[in-house]
Amino acid sequence: MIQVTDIHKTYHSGDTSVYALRGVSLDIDAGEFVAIAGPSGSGKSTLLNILGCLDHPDQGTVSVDGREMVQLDSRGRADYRRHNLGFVFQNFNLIPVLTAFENVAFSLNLLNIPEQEITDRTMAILREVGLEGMEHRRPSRLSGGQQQRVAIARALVKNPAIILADEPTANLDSETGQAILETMRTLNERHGTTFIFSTHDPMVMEFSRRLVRLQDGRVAGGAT
Amino acid sequence: MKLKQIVSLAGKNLLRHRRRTIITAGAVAVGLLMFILVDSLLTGIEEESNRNLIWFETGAAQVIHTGYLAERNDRPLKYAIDDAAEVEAELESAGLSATSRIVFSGELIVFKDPFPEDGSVMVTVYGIDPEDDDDVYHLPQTVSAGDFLEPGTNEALLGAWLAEDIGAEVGYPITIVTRTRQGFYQTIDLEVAGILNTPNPVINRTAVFMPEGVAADYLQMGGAATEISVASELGRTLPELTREMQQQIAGAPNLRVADWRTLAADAVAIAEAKESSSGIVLLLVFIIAAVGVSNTVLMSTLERTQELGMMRAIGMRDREVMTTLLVEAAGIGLLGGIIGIVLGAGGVALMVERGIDYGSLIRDTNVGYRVTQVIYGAWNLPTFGRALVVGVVISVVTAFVPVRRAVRMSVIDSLRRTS
Amino acid sequence: MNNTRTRTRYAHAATVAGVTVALTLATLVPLAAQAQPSAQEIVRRLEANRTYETSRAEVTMIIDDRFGERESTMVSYSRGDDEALIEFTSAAERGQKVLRTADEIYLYYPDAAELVRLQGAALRESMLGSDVSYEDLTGGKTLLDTYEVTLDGTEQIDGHRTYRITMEARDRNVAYPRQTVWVDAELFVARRSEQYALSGRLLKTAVMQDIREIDGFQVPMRTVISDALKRNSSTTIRIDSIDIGVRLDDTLFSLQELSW
Repeated sequence: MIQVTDIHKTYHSGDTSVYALRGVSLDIDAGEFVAIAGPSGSGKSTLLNILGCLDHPDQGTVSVDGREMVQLDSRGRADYRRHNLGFVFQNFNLIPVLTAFENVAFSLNLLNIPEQEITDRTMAILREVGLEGMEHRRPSRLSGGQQQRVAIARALVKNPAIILADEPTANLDSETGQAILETMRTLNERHGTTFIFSTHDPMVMEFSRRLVRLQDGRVAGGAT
Repeated sequence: MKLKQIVSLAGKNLLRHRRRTIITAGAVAVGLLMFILVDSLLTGIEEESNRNLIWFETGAAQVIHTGYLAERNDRPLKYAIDDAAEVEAELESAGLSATSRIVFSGELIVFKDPFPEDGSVMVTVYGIDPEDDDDVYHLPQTVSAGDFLEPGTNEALLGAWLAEDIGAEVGYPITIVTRTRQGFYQTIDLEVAGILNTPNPVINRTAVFMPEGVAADYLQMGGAATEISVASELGRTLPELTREMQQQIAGAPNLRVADWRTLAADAVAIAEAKESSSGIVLLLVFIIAAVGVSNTVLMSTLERTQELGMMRAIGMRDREVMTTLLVEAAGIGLLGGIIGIVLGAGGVALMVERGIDYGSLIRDTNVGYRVTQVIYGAWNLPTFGRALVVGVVISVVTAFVPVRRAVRMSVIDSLRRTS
Repeated sequence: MNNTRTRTRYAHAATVAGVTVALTLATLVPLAAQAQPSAQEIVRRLEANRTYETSRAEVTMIIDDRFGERESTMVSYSRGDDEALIEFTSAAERGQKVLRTADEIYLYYPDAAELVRLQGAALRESMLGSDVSYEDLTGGKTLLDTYEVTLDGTEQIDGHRTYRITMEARDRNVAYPRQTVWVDAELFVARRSEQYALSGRLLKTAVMQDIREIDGFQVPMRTVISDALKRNSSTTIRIDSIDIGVRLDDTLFSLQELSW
């Protein structure tokens, strides 16, 4: 489903160049639950950003279902993200002035879906992530785990092909983190959505079905 | 994303920092309040100035000689209307209120004793028909000392400021030196019968009135007058009035009709002054909004950098992000506009009711406005609407730079930014 | 009353005898015929005397009014009856010029490099705040063309025998409906003149003094003009030097030369 072929990425900061990715190739099938692991500076965030169409590789190709991503312009990438990708962030990134319900509905609003359908789908997914009864709370009145559940619901509600999660448990205690991971895996199984994480948390690696280790911008080992 | 959702999100974001929103809107409101008040004042001045022009100098419109207009500042008697009485009668037969005047310039000469000292001053002398001048003009009501003119006498009325300047009192003798219609030097000896305190500074400062018939004799007018003024008619617009007048003089090719706007060249200058003052105030509003609104929008984009990055990451287009932020700015402008209108209405009501006492400012400065002392504001409703639009538009325009800056940052950088 | 701008506006004309800045001059005329001449004859001689080919004069104008005394100096050129050029030489107005041709008057201001043709009411304005208006400079028709003249008799002025001539305007296109001029019975030069308004009121008086013979002409070296309606105000025109019959450049009186 996703084919990453020999991608390179270098960041330039003043006179120094940082080689983030140096020839990464990777195939990910639909419905996989993949962790991309490695120490900080290993290039995992860069890889995730490129997979998430937020960044370009300097070299190499990324194709999703045979469609070449590198060619898209900024609007094309925004539209691709809007329809096909869900994001879960390390620090949740909910909109503080909106309720849990509204935060989830926000990603459906972007798709111009009829209001009733938005309501139905939003309520269903909130129930699924275990937030029934908390729809009208603002993020400030939710715990970290609950906020991340809202974020997961927001990513999942539009039925994307892929959900990209950047260190989703880093800001949570281990118990909560584990619960979140369990929820994600359940959803992965139930919906068949491809999940790709970046993490340096051993627990996350344990939960993943497949582990891609990055070291110095290269894939270090095979799948587990 | 639907506009409704954008507006709702913007509204919620505005409520996030109520204080900041209200302070920024307050700044916009103060600017718009100034705009409304200045406009009200200028409109008030313009209305009163126009009225005083019409009531004391020009009437609503005049029949004049075709050559008169171009040289009217010199008050040339050579461009007079022959058979003025006939023309006046024709206008009156059409149901119009008309009166003829002989207006000329001259030098007013006074001598020490009874005057405080010898002197001379340029004046504009109005030969008026004491019996029907008030069909068009409003002089008799403004007599502040002495009496109005008696027909056929060598009497004069002086503008109040002129009288004060030269130390004239009722009963004093004055001499006017001028030129007759054909150009001879002529002197006219008159006695001050009364002093006029009009709301028109030009009249107060430079006008001498005398009976038209007496002026006609001295100036050898032979039945001619320099102008036949017509009063405005209820239910008849100015163009209708001038058209009617036009028809009455159709047979006289050397005569024309000029309305008061044409006659009062400085009225045009007033309108321009009004435009430019409004422009200056609007510039001020713009600066206030530019500083206030753009700063507020900048702050709100900075503190929401990550949030904006998230919104863009999950597929919100840059244009939608910008629209959301600009709608927020528009909301500030709208709120400021509403506050400004409410305060403005109060201020205008006060100015209409009480007025502003300019004291001797107008007397000492020779501006074109025909107003004295107290200046009243006027209701100018379109300005309120304009203020609202201006508030919104200026807020949106000034927000544009920080908003564009916000979406120019890459999504990754936005996401990485910690607030 | 302190309106300085307006007080000078209606400066009144100088005198018929030509104390204008054009500085018309009386020619020397043989002693009067024994028989008393007619009024027309007297005026004709008066005018004939001041018609000459060319002149160049240095002139001082002294304005004395309630603001005090001010002096302006100028050089005046004239040719025939119509053409005159005045160039101011005193510091305040140095370089200003007034050109009179047969029909028009032009002013040149060096500071603004601006040439102004005077017309309409501007002609009535005072020259430099004096009792002389630009209108007084305009030339053109002779006195006999514009005025009906009558001889009232003879009178002594400053110890000189003069003919008193009353002039009534023939048409109405002149400034003064009536003037009186006292013409020296021997020299045929004006010794005094008075101008009246239509109402009969005296407007202006001119007194010519210090009459000298120069290059065969009788020239009033001092003319004092006073406005009868303004007490304590007079303008004195004093000729400091004069050459009559000098050679003048043909282009001197042209517009092109005005701004050099």
